[in-house]
Amino acid sequence: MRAATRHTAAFAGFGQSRVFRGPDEPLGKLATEASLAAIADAGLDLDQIDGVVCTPDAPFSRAKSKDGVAFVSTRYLVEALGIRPAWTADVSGTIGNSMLEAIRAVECGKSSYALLFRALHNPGSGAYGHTQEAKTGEVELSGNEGTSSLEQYRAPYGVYPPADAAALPWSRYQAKYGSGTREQMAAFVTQTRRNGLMYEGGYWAQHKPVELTVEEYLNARMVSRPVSIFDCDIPVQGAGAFIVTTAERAADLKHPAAYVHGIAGDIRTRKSVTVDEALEEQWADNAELGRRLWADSGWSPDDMDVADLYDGFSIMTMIWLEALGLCGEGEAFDFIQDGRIAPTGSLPLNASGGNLGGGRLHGVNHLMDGMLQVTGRAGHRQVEGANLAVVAVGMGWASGAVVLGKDRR
Amino acid sequence: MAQNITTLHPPLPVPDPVSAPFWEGVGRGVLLVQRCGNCGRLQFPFDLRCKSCDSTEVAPYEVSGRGAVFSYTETVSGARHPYFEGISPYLVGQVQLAEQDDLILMSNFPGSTYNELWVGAPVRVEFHELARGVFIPQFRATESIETGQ
Repeated sequence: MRAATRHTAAFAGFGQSRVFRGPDEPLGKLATEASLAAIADAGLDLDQIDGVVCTPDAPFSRAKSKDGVAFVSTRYLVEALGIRPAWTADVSGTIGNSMLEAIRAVECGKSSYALLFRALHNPGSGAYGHTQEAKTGEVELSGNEGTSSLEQYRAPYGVYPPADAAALPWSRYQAKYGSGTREQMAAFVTQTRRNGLMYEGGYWAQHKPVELTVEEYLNARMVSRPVSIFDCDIPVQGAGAFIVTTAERAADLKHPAAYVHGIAGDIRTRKSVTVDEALEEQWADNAELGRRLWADSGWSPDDMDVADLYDGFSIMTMIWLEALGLCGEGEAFDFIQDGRIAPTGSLPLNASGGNLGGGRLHGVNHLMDGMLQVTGRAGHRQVEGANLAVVAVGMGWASGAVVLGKDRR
Repeated sequence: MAQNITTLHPPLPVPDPVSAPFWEGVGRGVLLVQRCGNCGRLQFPFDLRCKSCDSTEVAPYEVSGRGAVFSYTETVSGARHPYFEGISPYLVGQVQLAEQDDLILMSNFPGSTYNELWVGAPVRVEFHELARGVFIPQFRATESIETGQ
């Protein structure tokens, strides 16, 4: 095992826009709002930002949508802010992937103060996502997108992405491990919704600040069995932003910084390339990411004080818990019981609510929580003695993870 | 509107140059995967190269059409496509072919209900016509819980 990497990057600012169910405010305006808030949080001037990075794709494709409306690119934001950065990058995947780019850019000197942002559009009319064209024609689902497209093998069967990409692994998990009932899952979903109410920037906290009961969860409308509506994050329109800089520069900024202790991502282990929904393939990708993360950071799962693990669908968090070694294989549904993952438990999980408790900002909430927890800035949801946090955003190839520490590397 | 409903069908697969032999096989009632001439591994979906050894010596290979349920769900939301909205809820899932663990195809498990199916249930391929000469493979459970194993 190689020695831990000597990382020099740190997270030094965070900002988030208001969050809406639909397009109440233009997305470009919300991305600008979040970015200005992050810059102010770090105590920087606008003209000090010399790098901008984001993940513009998903849920809408850049090729078919309008910049600033259905997605926000670095080009849009640079113009909106009126800055002239030396480096920009529009990265595929999730903020897990663009987060790694920001860290690398700062560590290799391409940027001194990098602005990392993520903006998500929701038209709010039931037309969410990639299948809008399917209403009017067969172009989108035809599979006629070249040899890399798996749609020709999936769309004729009415595979319902991405809910089926959660339901199929979960069903297989139940058969494979004899665990994973909805009664067990209730412990996680109700806790994360409760956590989300403590974060003033969360969707539920802003718009419907009541707890979800176990009974409501168990009686919820099914989407794709066993995935119910409450196992899916709620689509929202909003944006989040972060300032990434060097540990050295961060020391002069307004707040204590969260120091990068280890990173991993860009995993492509899969050999069979069947369909994205295979439990074993999701698990293997995440486990490989975990091995790289612990090797890169020099820490082990047992060292973590808090965990922020992606929960676009509830089952994803269970797979992350196991694949990162935070609990044993097949044991996640037992692990999440008895208050173990509550803010006062042995491993506080998604203490700011994640996606399920905060709305679909695709990992913004996870990175924010990890950053604020280790810097003692998490307010009502602050976990006592949070010195190290593991943040893992996305699933499979579209994922990235970071270990953040209170102490400088 | 009624006229549209009579012609409604699922999205049709559009073969590309690499997948064309697969769909051509399906059209004549034969289930094909690819076999690597170098390392002997089978693979699906079709690709330009072997996913195991990178050899380009991959060729269509006929399989038995037997397998087992890998996972399944009952989708209630209907894939946001008018055909599937019309038949919701419906089954959708994966089949693991008998020849190799990582050969996984999709299926709707015709003839089964959600409660009758289980992970590991044996299935056999059949070919369904979606529209004018366009076929897809489907897999039917060959045992039900009622008949016992």
